[in-house]
Amino acid sequence: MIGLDLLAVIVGLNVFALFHHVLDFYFPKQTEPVSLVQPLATAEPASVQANLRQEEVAETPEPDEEAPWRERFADKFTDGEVIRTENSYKSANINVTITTVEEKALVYSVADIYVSDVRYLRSALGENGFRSRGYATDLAEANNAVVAISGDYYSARQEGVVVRNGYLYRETRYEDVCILLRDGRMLTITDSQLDLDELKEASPWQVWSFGPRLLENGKALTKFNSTVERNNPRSAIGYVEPGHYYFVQVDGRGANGSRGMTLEQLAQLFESLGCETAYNLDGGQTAGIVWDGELVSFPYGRMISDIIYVTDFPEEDGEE
Amino acid sequence: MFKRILPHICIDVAVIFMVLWVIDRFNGAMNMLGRDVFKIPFMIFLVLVVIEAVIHIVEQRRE
Repeated sequence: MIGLDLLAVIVGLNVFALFHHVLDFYFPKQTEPVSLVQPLATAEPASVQANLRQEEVAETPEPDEEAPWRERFADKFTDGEVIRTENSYKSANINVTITTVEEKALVYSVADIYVSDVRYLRSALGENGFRSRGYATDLAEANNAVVAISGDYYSARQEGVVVRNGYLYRETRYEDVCILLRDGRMLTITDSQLDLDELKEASPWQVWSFGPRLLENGKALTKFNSTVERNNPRSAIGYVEPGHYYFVQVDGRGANGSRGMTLEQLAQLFESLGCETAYNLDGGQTAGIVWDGELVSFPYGRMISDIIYVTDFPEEDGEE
Repeated sequence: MFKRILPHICIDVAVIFMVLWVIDRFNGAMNMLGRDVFKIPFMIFLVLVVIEAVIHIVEQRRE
């Protein structure tokens, strides 16, 4: 009888995991997005966005004359042509260089990103919008991403502020929050510092809720608001100055011979890159980075709810 | 039959919830305990425990 009980426990845990990780759409909590610029506007359906992208992709990116950081990073952008190499992409509005580092028992990728306007740094949800999921490569391809990194996997929780491309999807508190403002500044704050009314008033471009934050005034933190500090696969975003960002993805748990990074190691990496702030995104089997349509990182095979990506063809949703 | 397997169901489901609680302590980001996929079975579990307790009390009184 004890054997049967044990078997029932194991089966029960697996059934729970199935509904928690794979069939979680049976327990949805639909939320209509609200534009932080024009209250109560709704985002265009994903299919409409996809059609627009197909038309746009055929065109050559034009220099964005009103882009705020065009002059500051003038040497980073071209006059209209696109220059691609195996590990870099340079155009009129974006400049991305990806480097994969292999050290002893550690493999990670760093994407150095310059954009002429914050609109080129975007988030994408699954094909069917809020709470839907997809593979990182599919999400990247559907959004013409030059480089994409897995996001905060907001759909795994019912808490945490979610703002994507200027649209507010959820406004419940969670842990540390990362806010990308429309002027390009990226702030990381603790839950106790978060004022939801102030946040909405600031009309942020993106808000991610996972964490923890990794830096304080450019210096690596040594204590983190997280219980998962040990070596793990990681993905994270860093900010140097408006227009200049980093994506970092770390393989782990033995994948590609990499044991992963602790939060302290990740924080030190961002400090060494010269970042002012940095924020840990969902790691583990979620962690992935896509370059030129291909997964550079170890393919864990998990469907994810969102990516952060850089594209030459930004859409118009949620913009001022 | 139901009276025989009910205590086992209660024990099994309680063990499952204890495992989930431990996982949640290690990695709160997985949100094992905060979603409907947990809350609904948990409510069913509570109902089963009440039924089991009532049956137990009735049998005790009969003795």
